[in-house]
Amino acid sequence: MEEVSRSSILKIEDFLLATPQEAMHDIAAIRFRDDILRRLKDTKVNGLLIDLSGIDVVDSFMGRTIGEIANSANLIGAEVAMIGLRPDVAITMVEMGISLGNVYPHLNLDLALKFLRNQRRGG
Amino acid sequence: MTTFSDEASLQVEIQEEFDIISARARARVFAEALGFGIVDQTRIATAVSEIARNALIHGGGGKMILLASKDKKGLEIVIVDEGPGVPNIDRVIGHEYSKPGGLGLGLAGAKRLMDEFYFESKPGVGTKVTMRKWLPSGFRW
Repeated sequence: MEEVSRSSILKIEDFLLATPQEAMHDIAAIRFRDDILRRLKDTKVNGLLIDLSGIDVVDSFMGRTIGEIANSANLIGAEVAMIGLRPDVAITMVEMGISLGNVYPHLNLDLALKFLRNQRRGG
Repeated sequence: MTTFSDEASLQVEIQEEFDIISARARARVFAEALGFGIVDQTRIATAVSEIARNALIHGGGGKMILLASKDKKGLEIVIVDEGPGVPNIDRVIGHEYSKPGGLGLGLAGAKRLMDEFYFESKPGVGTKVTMRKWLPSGFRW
């Protein structure tokens, strides 16, 4: 089946905003991970903000991929914040024992940006 | 003894990666139609995602069958493949296969999300996973 990637990686202030979309299969998830890391390196931003509001299933593979994105971004030197995780997805992840690595979750975009700005000043 | 109806059933082929997404989307819609709430829908879709991926990667592809119980109190999901099979389920759920990309983490996780979980596998024949979820008691039609 042919599908169009609707995932996006946008620059905002000194950060990248990465938004994966719902129907992302495994190969698309890995491509998304690699795209984010390449963009982090190319744009020389200080932080990464992952918006998971479009994701309705985080299974073990997706959880591991998000964790890899966060840990790799950390190693490159970017702080990683996360927003938009749906409550039903969060409950399911906890029940399955899925954790996401070095990600700082926030309730909304304002708080996540504030966090990343503070991290930047601190650094 | 609850029986599961063939009348309200749905079959989805699992032959390529995108089919995993189709399978879990179908399971979510099926669960919603039966009256499951959003958290159960997500538990069911996530369990299907794990088991469908196993059927594709380790079983070389297969199919999912969704069934509603005749008394309309729950759903049954059967995912089968005709792959090489797994000799010992305890070793699968245990640490041996439970490394990244392995079979075990997904299986153990899916089992926790569902109310009933049965794993049958015969070397050379294939693998069949049967999962059930019941509507919370007190639910009215």
